Amino acid sequence: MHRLLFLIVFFISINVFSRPVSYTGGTTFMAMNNGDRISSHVHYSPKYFYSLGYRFEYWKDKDYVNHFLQGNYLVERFNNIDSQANIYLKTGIGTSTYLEGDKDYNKSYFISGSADWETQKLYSNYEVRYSDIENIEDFILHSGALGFAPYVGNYGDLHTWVLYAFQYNEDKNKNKLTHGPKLRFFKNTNLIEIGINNRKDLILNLIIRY
Amino acid sequence: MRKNIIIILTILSALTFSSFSHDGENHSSEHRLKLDYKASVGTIDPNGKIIRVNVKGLVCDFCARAIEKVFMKEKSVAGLTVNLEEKEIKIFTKKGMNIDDDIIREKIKDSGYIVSSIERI
Repeated sequence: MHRLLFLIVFFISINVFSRPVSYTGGTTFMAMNNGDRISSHVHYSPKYFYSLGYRFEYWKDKDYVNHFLQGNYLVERFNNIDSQANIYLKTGIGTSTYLEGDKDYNKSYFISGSADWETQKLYSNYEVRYSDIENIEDFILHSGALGFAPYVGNYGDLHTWVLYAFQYNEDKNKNKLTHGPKLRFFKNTNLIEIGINNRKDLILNLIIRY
Repeated sequence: MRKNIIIILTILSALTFSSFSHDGENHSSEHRLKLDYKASVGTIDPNGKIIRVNVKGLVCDFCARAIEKVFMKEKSVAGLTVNLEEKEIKIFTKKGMNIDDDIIREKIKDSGYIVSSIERI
């Protein structure tokens, strides 16, 4: 049942946008398959600097799911002539359960901080997240990406980015570090990211923004 | 005397014609100006106003879609165009309608950006 649920959530919520806040009054849907987990996040921004929503995660290696009520807050945005940078805080509280075996719901929460910086040619982001999943695990996860645009498109053009992403889980004994290239394409409000990491996991993010 | 009247009338006619023709040229060039623009979203009302807004942080097409979403909810806006290279948007208002600078600043802020200048063309 849970497997069916996350598959439904994953395939329905391919309408996503990777920013944790949107414009005032905007609703955002996001979904990612980034190797160790499948996740989706739906949020609404009453104002441009914060959003409230729901996050679903399926962690593949330990076979459990998280359901979080999530809040995102834009701490600071640096709007410059040729660049934009953002600092965000995110937190979620909810429940977690294994898909097989003990199916008790456990209390869980996470807190994270992230930053990004981009121009029309360069992109970078970094996030650190602490998760505490009662009776299952707690861990600190670092992730980020660096990239460049091979050409600069104007509004409405097909935009292409070449990115190199990494993820480092401090609390894992093996596969602490995963990394690999990915390509990002977007046109208008449609975005797709495809890549592969050093464990040969497929990275696939499909995004549509409304 | 008759000669003088004819000369004066001729000069006045010439000046009047010149004035009308100059005015006509202005209208024509203004019309051409509007025809030169293409709205990224919505339409351009040839009788509306054009407002050029320079925006800080306008680097990403995907993120700039917020500007469309926010401004197209305004009743006075017929359309707009976004130029990432110039970091500017042009707002095309409907005939007889306007949008205040303060509202433009607020809408740009709601979209996640900051206005650096506003110019009415």
